[in-house]
Amino acid sequence: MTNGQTRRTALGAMAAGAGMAGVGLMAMTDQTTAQAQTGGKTFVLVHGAWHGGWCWRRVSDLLEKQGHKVFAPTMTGLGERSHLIGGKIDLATHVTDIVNVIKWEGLNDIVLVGHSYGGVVISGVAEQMREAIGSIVFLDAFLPANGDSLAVKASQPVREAIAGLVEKGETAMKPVPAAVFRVNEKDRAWVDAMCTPHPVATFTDKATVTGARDRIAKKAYIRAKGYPSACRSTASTTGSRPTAHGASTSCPAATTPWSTCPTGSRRFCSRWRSDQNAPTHKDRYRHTLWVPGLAEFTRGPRAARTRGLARTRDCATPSPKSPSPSRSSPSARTADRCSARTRRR
Amino acid sequence: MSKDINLDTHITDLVNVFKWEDLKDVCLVVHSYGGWPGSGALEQIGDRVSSIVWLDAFKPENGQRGFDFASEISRKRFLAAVEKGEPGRPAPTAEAFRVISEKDRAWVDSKTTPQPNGVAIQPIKLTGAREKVAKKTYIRAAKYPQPAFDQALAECKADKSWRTFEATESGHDVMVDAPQWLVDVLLQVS
Repeated sequence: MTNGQTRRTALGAMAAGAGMAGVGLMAMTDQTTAQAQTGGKTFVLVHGAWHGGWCWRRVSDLLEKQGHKVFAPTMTGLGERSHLIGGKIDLATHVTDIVNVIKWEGLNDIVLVGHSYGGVVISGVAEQMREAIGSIVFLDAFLPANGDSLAVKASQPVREAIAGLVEKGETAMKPVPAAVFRVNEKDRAWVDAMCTPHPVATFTDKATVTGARDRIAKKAYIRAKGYPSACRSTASTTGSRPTAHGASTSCPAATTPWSTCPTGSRRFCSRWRSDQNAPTHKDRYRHTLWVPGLAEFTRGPRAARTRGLARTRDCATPSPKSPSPSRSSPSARTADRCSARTRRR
Repeated sequence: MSKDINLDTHITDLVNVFKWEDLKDVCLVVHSYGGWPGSGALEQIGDRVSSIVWLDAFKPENGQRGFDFASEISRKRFLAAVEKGEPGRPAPTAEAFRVISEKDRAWVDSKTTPQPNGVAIQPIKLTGAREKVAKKTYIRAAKYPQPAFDQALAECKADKSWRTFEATESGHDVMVDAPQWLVDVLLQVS
């Protein structure tokens, strides 16, 4: 068996006369063995609006190389499934797309990652499949409260575009250019070529969030600081490495961008706090200060502590050891801590 | 599940994976019914495929329909279902597919779902792209009786451009019954 053979991609069309169960990509590597040896995790990566499973390719390859199992399904009507677009696709369709992958693949203890609009989807998935989810990661994503929708919570231009489409009775929204998402210049043409119209009903449907998401053991929020978003946090950029919104494509070497928890994120947190179902904010979400890679993060708090990775803190409650605000700005403090960890690593 | 699903839908399902994942030098493996969308897809993305493996699969000729391969009883049931406007028909049992272990049968039965009717009544359009692929392999699962696959195996044995294998200890779902054997063969022929 040569290297060339092991790297070759095998595409399997499986159907036993009993339903096109799905098309599986089977990389011919010793993944199973690798996974058994490293105690690999199972990742379910959920893309954002207009994107598809394709946007995770670099991240999936890196995770698989480390022995993890990755599912990056494309939701109905998008990407390689764009020929299935139609008026009937709503938020429930997309939630079911992901729920069914978990069910049919018999997955448990998964790391569920949602990017952008995918945050609305994984919040819905958590309502149905909480027991199967070990950790949940919001990657520059919407974090809806009960009843939220993108038609209400998206940035103003997107909100206006959605309203215009609804008025005209249009069922799909054309992709927003990659430049708007601050995708790095080299990848913009590729991202624009891959993006496809997105079903409008998934933007207008209201999310059902009853608290299942908050009961998941490990929760993280990652902010891509090179992408301003008025509706989400407007984190300070001082001392941080800019990474655009299309984080899954923009920063392959680091896998994911780092995220800080300065002033803007606090505003975001106070919005979470307004959720009446939550006991206290402290019990809920913490922001990840710096995440060099999802895989590292999900090795667990102990591993993260010993490696100096993936430190988290409650963003609304300053750590007792934090320098006083008079000494430096919040963002500068964050940057200092991040660089200190980099050195320790 | 929808009445709108036809063979073209499943062909596009495959073709688009090649396009959106930008795949080249692919080993395309098709199982059973997958021989229909697989043959159709090769008409569009044959240049991205370096080897094909037909795994206990249909090997249709131009103009054929899945319906043509069904037994008389199945055809009557099928037409009745279509007349009633039913979008699909239930899956055969794992036992009928001769899945070997009882435990696997229960698992397979819990996962299989109705097959859309529309895919079996649309004639396939083929111009020979499948036969142009450089490396071609047919695998027959010996423990599953199916005359169409016996015939396909015989045709491939008679054609020097195809390699053939028989999974002697496997029912129709070779990936379930004999995964390691299958992986070894796939690595050998791709």
